[in-house]
Amino acid sequence: MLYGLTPLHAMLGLANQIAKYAKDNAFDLILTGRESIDYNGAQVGAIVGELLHIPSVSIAKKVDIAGDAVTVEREIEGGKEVLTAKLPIVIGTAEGVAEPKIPNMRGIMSARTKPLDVLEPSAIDVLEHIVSYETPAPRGTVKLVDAAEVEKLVSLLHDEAKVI
Amino acid sequence: MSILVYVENTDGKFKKSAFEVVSYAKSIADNIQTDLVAISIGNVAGDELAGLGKYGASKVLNVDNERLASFVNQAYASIIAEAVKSTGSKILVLSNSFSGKGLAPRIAAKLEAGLADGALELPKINGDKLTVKKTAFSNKAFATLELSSDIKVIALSPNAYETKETGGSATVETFAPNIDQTDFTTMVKEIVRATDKVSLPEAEIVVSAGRGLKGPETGVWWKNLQKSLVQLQHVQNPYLMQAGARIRST
Repeated sequence: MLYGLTPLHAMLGLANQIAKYAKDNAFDLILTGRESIDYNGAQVGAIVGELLHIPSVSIAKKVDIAGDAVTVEREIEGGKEVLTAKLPIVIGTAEGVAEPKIPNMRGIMSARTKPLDVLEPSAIDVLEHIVSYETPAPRGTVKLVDAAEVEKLVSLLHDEAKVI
Repeated sequence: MSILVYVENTDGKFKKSAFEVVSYAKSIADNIQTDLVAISIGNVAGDELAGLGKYGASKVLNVDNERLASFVNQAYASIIAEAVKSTGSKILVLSNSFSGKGLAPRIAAKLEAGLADGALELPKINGDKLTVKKTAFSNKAFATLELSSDIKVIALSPNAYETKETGGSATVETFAPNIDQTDFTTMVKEIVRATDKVSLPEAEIVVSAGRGLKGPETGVWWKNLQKSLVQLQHVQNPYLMQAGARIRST
């Protein structure tokens, strides 16, 4: 666990901490999620890969490892790409890469005995930060169009909403 | 100081998202009164490259290398970072596509640059600082991000900026930086694309019906809507006349 990081430190700061620990401990495989649910950046895995000078693959849907050979299936626009690499590697995993396993009571209890190392973050530069947030404009009223009046729907989208 | 835009291709052709990033970068270049340079990696024909001039690029750097025909994240990042340095660019623009999401952070880390991913609007530039609106909380909110680094990277959300033809022309130059062998750590084995439908980011019109469509009995309704939309586009947009299939349902 890294203590003391704030959103101001952003992705580069987070990735720096992970890369430093991974370098000191010589990991062969570093898995991250697809992206965070706050900023949806999908940046950390790629930056860790860059800092460690090892390959990184984002949005992986399937991962196979045999010895030091890695085969990854990743999502691309309108399809998928299968690529090969060797360990060590950083992989940003997306939904479908593994079946979630719900821990049983024994697992939950034994987790409490595992060591929890608290690390002090190293110094990092702040290159970007959030200055404000806003929410989308509230939705307007809804117009219901009968399924038999497709032409009317198209007309509304074209003439009124001006989206097509 | 110029602005650099990285333009992705699919099988040697530029698609809508490519013209979006060039149009977006051109607007930034105009705002700060500088030139726009584009970089393309992979096997793209000369006329396709020169065509980026129509969207505002004054020069296109072409990295044509058989080993780079498919996307290699590390190598692409090194090449683009090198192009940023050689052109003296302070702003790099690229698409926040699936590949862009893996590429932009690596480039930003190489250049010690701040990164605004998922940008939705043109940035506001105030001296050395740049602020830009981006998506946050899974598109349920927006955040304004300030970049204070010397070099700034902006990854534009697909479909966030309209393409604009400016009618210019671009010169095409070969760009061949030294590529470290250790950058070729991944190899593309296979690419599978759906050929019978348009990918979501490339669709001109998206009809999101979801559960509202219920069962197969609504098929007639859907077909009528699709037909009407295509007819409308026939009138308005000749480009779509030849591609009714560009309308995709989700």
